[in-house]
Amino acid sequence: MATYVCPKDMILDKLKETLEEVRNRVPDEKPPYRARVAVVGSEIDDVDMIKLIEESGALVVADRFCYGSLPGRAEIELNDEEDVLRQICRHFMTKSMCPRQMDLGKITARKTYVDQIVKDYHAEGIIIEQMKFCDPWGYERMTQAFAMREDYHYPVLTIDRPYAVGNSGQLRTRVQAFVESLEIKKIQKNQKQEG
Amino acid sequence: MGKKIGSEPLGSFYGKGKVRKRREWRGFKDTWYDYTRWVKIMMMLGKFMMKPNNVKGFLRYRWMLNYLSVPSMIDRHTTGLRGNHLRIAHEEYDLVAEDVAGLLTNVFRADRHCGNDVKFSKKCVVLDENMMFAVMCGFPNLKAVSWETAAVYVSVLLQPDAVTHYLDVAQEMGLPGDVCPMPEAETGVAIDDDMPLYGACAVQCNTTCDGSMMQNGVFTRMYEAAGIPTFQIAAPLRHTEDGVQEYCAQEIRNAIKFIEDNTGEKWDWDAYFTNIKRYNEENSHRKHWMEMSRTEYPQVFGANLALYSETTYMAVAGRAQAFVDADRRITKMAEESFRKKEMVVKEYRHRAIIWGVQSQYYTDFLPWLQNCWGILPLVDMLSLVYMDHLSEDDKDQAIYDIAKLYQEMIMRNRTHGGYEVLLDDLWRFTEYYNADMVILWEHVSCKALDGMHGLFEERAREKGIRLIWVNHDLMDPRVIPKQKIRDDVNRYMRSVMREEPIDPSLEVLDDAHMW
Repeated sequence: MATYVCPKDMILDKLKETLEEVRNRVPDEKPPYRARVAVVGSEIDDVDMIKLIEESGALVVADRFCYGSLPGRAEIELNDEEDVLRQICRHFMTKSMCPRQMDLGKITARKTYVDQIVKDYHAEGIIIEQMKFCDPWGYERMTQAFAMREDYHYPVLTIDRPYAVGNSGQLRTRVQAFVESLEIKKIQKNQKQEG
Repeated sequence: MGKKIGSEPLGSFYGKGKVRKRREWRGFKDTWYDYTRWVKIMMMLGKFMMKPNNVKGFLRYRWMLNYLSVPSMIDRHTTGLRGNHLRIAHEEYDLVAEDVAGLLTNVFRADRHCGNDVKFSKKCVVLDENMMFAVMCGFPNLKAVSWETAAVYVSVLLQPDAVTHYLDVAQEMGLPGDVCPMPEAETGVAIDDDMPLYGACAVQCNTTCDGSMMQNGVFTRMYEAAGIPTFQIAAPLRHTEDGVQEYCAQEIRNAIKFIEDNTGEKWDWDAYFTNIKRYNEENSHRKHWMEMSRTEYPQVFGANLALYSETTYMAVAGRAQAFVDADRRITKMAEESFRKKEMVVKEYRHRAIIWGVQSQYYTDFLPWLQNCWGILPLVDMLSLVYMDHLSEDDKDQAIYDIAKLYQEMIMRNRTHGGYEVLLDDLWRFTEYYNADMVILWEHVSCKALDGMHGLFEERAREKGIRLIWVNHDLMDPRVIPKQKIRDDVNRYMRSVMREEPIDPSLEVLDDAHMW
């Protein structure tokens, strides 16, 4: 999140350094998670939310929420012919995945985009979350959860959450149960393959 | 009990049943008149049920049960009225009821679940209930038919708990309970398979709020799945700015083209200007009535103004001569009463502007205000819309006029456009109408208005205006019952104003189970 607002020239070398470190990092022998999930939904700028999910046994492999990496990290392609501001505006108008955009093409595109993310990042389940009082995500959570389950056949956990959730025992239990259900699905799948 | 206004306690009519204990006695002439209008409504309902498609619709759709309470709804809104005021109210409500009966007849004729008249259905355009119908003014051979109006909007006017079932259905599906109950109920109707299906195409608009807009997405998916192509007018939010007008005009041109392409009809400028002439006349009548409200003797105000304006301004938009004729009769009666200095209740104590989003399940709250506490609801936010004269002969200007109507349609003109149109305009109107009080509806699920709560309070204090917050949940009386709404006023009037009610029998009513 810091990299969104930090002056780019000041942070670029730090990012390069981190990238190098990640590339050379030795993975844990036994991963500390039991399932890979993609988190989709309203703005999360409370790190405790992701922490809560990961403490419950899930690894967040993709974040597709308002200010998340996907599609937030998409490159803004600039040309030399047009005014830069106009180009940036166009980028946000055409690439935005905010559910506020009600056009049917966009509605469908948001679902196929999540499907693509799940495939690209090998997620086993999707957590669709909505910050309380956010109407666009209120509707999108309902329709997307339905579509991802019924049309794409992914396991989905949908949650309606307050702004800060770090101490929510209820939410922790729900994520834990979801992780367990993903594990069971994995075991059943393995048994089928073996059988 | 008699001819004189306020001659009997109006609260004494309420029991525990669905209807009131008895009809109000208003003197022979007015009681007879009121009775004949009641009979006329009953006959209209009977005539409506003579049509086989309507019987099918009545049995097919759960929300149709609410229409049994049409006479009761009109009674609630004419309580305590006498003479011309009673007649003005009946002119309005009876005509609206007739218009809705026509709408339902069209819905069931075209509906695939009922009449399934395919040829007729191809002449229907489905419109979003919360938007202007002006884009249909140039299509005289097409019908603008909004099932949402029939299923949800009108249903709740008739019966307070009309859509609670659909709210539950939507929430069971996963929609949060804190979104606006209007689009939520409409979504519930669709989920519950209670949505009539018809039309050559559908047109929607990003109307009042995020909830309303998001519901459009749900319906688009359903319409398209049923082979009904849908166009969405994306009107600019900052509607007061000149820079956005060209863009909006283009949206209107696109919408017209879309309707032409999907119905085979051509936009007819002669028909458009004929309708707009009527529309302009309707607006001039309304402005005239509202000007009267600046004086000591307002004549057309409160719920009568609000509900009638919503229908004529947004849904009719000049497309029916009957409304212009009614407007002329209303103006004539209002002028006569104005000359005679006739009053609606026996005592006027406060002059109020009604601001914010009104409670749909308690629109007769405004007559209650005047009858119980002598608070005159002069004008309301929903009636204070764009009423500039529209061009009656310039085709280029006409597109910009329509664009302006879509940007500044009811409610949208205040919930979008910046704080000036929501906050600053209120104080301008209090001054203009010489009001000493503001009744501020606080729709608890409306994020667009709730965010301004503190600013309203601060400014009211600065200006010395009495500000009464009245909480409600638009279409869900389970969250805030009608008595709670009244209590907000009762408490303020007794504790802050130190006043006693004009009619104490109305202060607490046993109307929780009433139609």
